[in-house]
Amino acid sequence: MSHGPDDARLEGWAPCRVSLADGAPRVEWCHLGAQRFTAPFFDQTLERRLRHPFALLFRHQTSMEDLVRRHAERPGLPVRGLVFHMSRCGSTLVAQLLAALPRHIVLSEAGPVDTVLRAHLRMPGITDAQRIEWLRAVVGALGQRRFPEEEAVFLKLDAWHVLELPLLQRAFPGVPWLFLYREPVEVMASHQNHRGAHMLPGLLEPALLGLEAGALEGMPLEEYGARVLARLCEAGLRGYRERQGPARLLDYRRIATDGAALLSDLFGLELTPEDAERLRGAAERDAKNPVLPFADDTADKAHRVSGVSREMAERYLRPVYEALEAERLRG
Amino acid sequence: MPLEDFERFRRLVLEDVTLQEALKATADVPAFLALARRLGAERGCHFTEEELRETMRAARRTWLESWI
Repeated sequence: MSHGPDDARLEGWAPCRVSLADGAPRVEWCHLGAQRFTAPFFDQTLERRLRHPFALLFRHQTSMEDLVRRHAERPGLPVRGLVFHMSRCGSTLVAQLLAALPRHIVLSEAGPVDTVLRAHLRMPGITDAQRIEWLRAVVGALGQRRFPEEEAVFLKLDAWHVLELPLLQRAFPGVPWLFLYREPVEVMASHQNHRGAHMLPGLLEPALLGLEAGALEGMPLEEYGARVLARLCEAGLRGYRERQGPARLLDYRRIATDGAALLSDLFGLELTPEDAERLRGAAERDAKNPVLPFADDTADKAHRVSGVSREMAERYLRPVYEALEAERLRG
Repeated sequence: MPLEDFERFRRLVLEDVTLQEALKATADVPAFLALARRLGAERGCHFTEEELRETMRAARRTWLESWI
């Protein structure tokens, strides 16, 4: 079945998944109803929606070409900000602050965005121009205005997407971006308890880390993880040094004191007193589990980190962390 | 075949906004299953409540597996 660009059947539906099986990307569309992207992560928002039997049982499917054609007719709301991060450093809180304002659509680590950004690894021959076109089409479809107050889209990316910062800047030229990072030992401690996907060999190409494939054999997970995190931070630092438009660096420790002002300034939020109250409310919650109040775990993390995690943090991460701090302080 | 009947019903629903509106408005699972069975039967698509529940379980499994 073909879905033309003006197909009214897709009104109120959004791409929930892109699959790359069989050599041609397919787009699966979910009916969102009144579900807004307010959960800490994109897939949690979809999980909520899929509790409705209609959304679970009935999904449209289109080709990527259909999605791209539709994007030309319906580009969606403007993308006003990109949030990059090294992981475990407050980026979910930043996404939740942005999502606290009903005029924003915040796409937090959206699966379809990740699939498109890594499509060239699964489908040889995919060009950067194609990835950019697909990325804009996916974000445009997810960023359709479904509520009258919605005005802008923010992308909170997966940690490894900072390696694609130049491509994302080409896709969304002039859009302000932020890179978040945190004291290395605390980040390593967080991953020690529950490792992120990028901290295990397999997700990222060894070449992206400056390693030969064989070099991974026998490498302790702590060393691998620290090298990944260092690579992400180096990409953020390089992107910042080479920035063509508005960009900021933000250390986790500064979010509580500087976060709201920085977001407001960088992304032009123009906060009303009511907005400021909403941000305060979001900041007081645990970003990844908003039913709980926020609890600062900095001291706990430093206390519980293993010796090897600490050593790897110091060896691989400390230098780039200090370079980021120096760059941030230079302004 | 019941599964084929449901697939036929699924295609009909995706093409018919009026059918969609009725189903979207029913979030309660038992009420949704009864409505889907009735709307399906009116169109010659016959499936049991248990078959629908199994289709939902399979849809959920497929969804979750895609994130692994």
